[in-house]
Amino acid sequence: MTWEDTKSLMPLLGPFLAALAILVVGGRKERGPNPLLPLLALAGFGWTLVGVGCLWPLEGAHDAFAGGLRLDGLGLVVALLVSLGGAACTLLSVDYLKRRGRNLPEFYVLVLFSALGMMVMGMSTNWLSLLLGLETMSLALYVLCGFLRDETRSVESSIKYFLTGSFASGLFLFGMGLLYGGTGSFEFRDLGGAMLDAQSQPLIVVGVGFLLAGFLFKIGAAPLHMWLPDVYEGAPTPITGFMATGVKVAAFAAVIRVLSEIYQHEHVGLRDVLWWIALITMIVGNVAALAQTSVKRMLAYSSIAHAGYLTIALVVMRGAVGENGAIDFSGSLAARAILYYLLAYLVANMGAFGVLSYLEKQGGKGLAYEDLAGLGFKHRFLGLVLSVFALSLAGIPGTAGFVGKFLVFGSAVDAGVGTADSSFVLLAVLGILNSLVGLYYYLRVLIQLYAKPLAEDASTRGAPLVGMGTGLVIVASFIGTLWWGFGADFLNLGFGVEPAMRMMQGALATLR
Amino acid sequence: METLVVLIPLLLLAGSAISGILALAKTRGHEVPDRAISWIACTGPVLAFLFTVLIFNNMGEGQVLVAGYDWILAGGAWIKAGFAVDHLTMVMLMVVTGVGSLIHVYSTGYMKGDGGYARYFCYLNLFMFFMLVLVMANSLLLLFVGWEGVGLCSYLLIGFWWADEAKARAGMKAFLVNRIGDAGFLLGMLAIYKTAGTLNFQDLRTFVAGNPEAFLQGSGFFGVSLATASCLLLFLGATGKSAQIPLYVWLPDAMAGPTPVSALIHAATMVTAGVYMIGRMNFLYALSPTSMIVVSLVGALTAFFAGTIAMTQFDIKKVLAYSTVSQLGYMFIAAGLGAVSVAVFHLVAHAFFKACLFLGSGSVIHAMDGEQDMRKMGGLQRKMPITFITMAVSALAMAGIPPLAGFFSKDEILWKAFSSELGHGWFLWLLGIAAAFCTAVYMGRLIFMTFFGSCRADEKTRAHIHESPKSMTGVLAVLGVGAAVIGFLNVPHFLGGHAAFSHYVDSALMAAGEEPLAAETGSVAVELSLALLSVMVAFAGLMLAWRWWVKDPSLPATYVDRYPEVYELVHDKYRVDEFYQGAIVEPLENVADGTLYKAIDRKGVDGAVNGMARAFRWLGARLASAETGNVRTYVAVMIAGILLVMLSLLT
Repeated sequence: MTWEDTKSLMPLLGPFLAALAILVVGGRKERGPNPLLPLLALAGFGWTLVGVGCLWPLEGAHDAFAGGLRLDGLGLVVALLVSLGGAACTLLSVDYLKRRGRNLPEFYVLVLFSALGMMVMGMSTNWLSLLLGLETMSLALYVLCGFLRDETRSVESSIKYFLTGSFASGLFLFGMGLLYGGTGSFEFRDLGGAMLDAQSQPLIVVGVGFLLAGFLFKIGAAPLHMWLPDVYEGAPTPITGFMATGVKVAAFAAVIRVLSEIYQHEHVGLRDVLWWIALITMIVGNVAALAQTSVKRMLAYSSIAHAGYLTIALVVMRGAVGENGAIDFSGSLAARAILYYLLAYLVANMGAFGVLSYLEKQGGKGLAYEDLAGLGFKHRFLGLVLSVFALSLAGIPGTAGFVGKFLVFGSAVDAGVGTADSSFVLLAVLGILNSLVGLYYYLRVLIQLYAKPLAEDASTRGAPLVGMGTGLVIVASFIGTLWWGFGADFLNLGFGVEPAMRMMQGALATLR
Repeated sequence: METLVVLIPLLLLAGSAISGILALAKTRGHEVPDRAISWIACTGPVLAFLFTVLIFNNMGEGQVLVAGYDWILAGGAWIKAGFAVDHLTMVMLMVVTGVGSLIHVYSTGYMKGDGGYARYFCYLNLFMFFMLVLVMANSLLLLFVGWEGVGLCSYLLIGFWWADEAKARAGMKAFLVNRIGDAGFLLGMLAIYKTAGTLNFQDLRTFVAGNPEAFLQGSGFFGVSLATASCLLLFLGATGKSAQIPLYVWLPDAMAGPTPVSALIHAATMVTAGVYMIGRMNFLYALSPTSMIVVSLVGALTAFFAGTIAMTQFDIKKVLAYSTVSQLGYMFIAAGLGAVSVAVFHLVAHAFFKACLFLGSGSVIHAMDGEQDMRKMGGLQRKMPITFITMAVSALAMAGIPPLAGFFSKDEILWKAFSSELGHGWFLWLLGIAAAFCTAVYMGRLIFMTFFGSCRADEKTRAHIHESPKSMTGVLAVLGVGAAVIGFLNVPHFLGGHAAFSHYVDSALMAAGEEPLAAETGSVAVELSLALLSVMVAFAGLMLAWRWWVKDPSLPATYVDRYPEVYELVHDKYRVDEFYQGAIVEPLENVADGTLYKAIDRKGVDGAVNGMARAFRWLGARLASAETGNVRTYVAVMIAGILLVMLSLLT
């Protein structure tokens, strides 16, 4: 442990210290929880945000724990996105838990720890720290999913996630074991060299296969997606939002790191497998989302579809041959597209789940499409922002979601045109067609909001005002969705499309 | 000047925001007088129009005003979001802000007393904002943003009376059909970006001029060149937005919206976006003769077929809707021949006479207490003199009677088709002249059925008939005068004019010294005789309409009886809607109903996996004690998936 180590751990310290502090001052049973706890959690995420701000832009990369963690641009972006998501989740939870009568200190502790795990995942450069981050994140999430313990669906969600998640952890471990057997090393970077003669070493190929399966599980890609809708639907709504975004951020960052090693020596089979997975995931997510009657469950399936779009970028990720003959992925359009897409998805999704968490009634009711009927005229602001979030998720120009989709499909076209192989372009075309299908169910939200008469339901009449935390998240997401879709950085605040683009570009500069 | 350029769209955005806030305040129970909303809503467009005129007067020859900022980093280069105003954009700006302002003023009368008064103007201002973004965009990408934005507003405005299920559905149809086109647009854009590395119009043109061979290489799809592929994909987008075959089906349904909306969006501005886009990308289309042929052929076929459908409709707005589709077809004929300035001229003329016709029909519908069926109208000319005169002038203009606007613009298109060196020019001309005949017939029919003969409305409605308020008739008069005189902007050479409009637009599209694309062959004598022929055709059409619908109203019925199959087919719009419904919509709905979902996600996967699942049942049995059977299935599917991944990795 050196000073350098400490410095690179700065962003991680925020959630960690905040979690400890909450455990200490959590409050006594008879007096109820301390009302300042969410503020502590927010302070933890704020620390990380400030830490990222201080360290950015990064000169080179800092290794810590004997190279187990690596603080580079990618790690910082993951820390940034995760703490944004975590802070949003915390703010939403304040109102949500109060209404559900489950406002307990542990909740915030678990959110902080899961965020910590995600950040570790994004910074890890060897299998051990990856597993550490993954398990920290997953264990906390298993509990969070079942936090509404009086509701069957929440408990069901937790147990299902735990069972299938344990299975996925097993896959990870098994894959890591095989890779250690094949390469004699836990480091990602030794995998690149080993891939050279991978064909002759089934051990490595099988190991990569298991690892891949573990990742696919976490991001919710077909055919390892089946747990996802049930888990997302049953979990407390703010947690669903955090799971859908934070886990994706962490897992995709780790996958980018791993793939940038595996792709050092082109193993064609891997791209083919990912190609099919991307396609099937998109189709399954979109088609199943069409049939949903609950908006929350629709968003769960659409989350699968988004994982599919993101997988397209994984398929077409390309690097340039660097000086020492190694392939350098720092300029990869596809990797940059993934990061921007994740940012766009984060804001729109947290916003959408924020609105849903406000609309949700006891027992998870009130989230069917019909419950939104005419709401655009009753709650004009909520209607407007929910429409914008839906349009962004659908990828309509002017929103952040469009920029993300444009970059992902663009990177696929870029990788494909001019080569004899038309499969990349075909995948982009299929992706665009899929997003057309997706438009249908997102627009159903708008139709319900604006084209249907308001259901004369007495319970909506006396609805409480949107709480401050929820309101803050919704407004911030709304601004982010539009600003990262179209905003220029007129005032040099470092906020808008261009700064974000530069950040994603910088994030990959020190990838390897 | 650059500040003014940026201000024009921002004015509309601000207007939309303020109207939106007022609409919000109104629902909260605050008292907001409609007068205040009218003033706020009309200020934006009118000021924008004044600014446009100001820029027009101060713009130097061939000058391009540019204002912008970095938007998306794609590849190594930034795509700039920004505005560029050249002569072509200038013309579009004039149309959008000019006609837009008039329609705003008209709307203050038409929408009076509607519960959603403020909301309506909020959408209408927002629409104009996006339309301005569309025509001022300096890159294909920003154009696409405007393109999607106008679509969205159109959808909001069609479904304006939101309590009405049918109207909401029409809005949905418009939006979905357009997305099919947009998929093509997006792909075309990506292909162009990949080839040229830029989407900026100026850079693209320089690139194409410098290395056309980059676009002439094969695209890898069906052996067509990249230029052809991207042009055709962009054109697919245009067929969606501009309602051409095969994606025109949404426009007639879109008439469900308020009539001023039909006039502004579905006649004068939004639907012409496809023509504008092709004009803008004209340098790329020039590289691909195939795509030019497709564009002009689709235009000609649409002009003809939509013209025949318009002759059989009874809903006054539907007639105008199909006539819009038909007239847009004319514009595409010209655009496909490379005669962009001619296409744009017809666009401008059409904006005037069609807006006037739509607003006039709105005035009629207003007077008839919401009745849109022409069979229940008739004899309105004395009760609504201003509406009658302005509509009649516009109808004559559209039919191509000299010296009204439509004569100059349409005749120029037909001449371009006839004189083009391309082998299919005569065919375009034939379809065009046939469509011109249809135009004269259905326009005559509309005017005669509505304003002549005896009134066929019931007593109650008849008592209600009255001329519309001044805010409406004043606008009609302005548009009617425009429809009459605007043709003189572009008097062709053979009639002693200078084709001033064409020169103005062409100077934006062509580098110095470059000749217009459509080379003309043929002499003045031929041109003159063709013009005479088309005037004769127009008169013949009007005469026929006079004979059938005024002199002897029983005649149409006898012809219908004589050829029932033909009439039914045309009256049912060639049953294209039914075909789409059966072939595309219903299967999609089945998917949405969950058939496919169940098949793929539950039953199918379950079924396919059952075999493997049995092998893993021992594992499932352990899990079963903890939870429902579902988790067992999930894990079984996971394992099956992993096995598949492994197998494909190892083989």
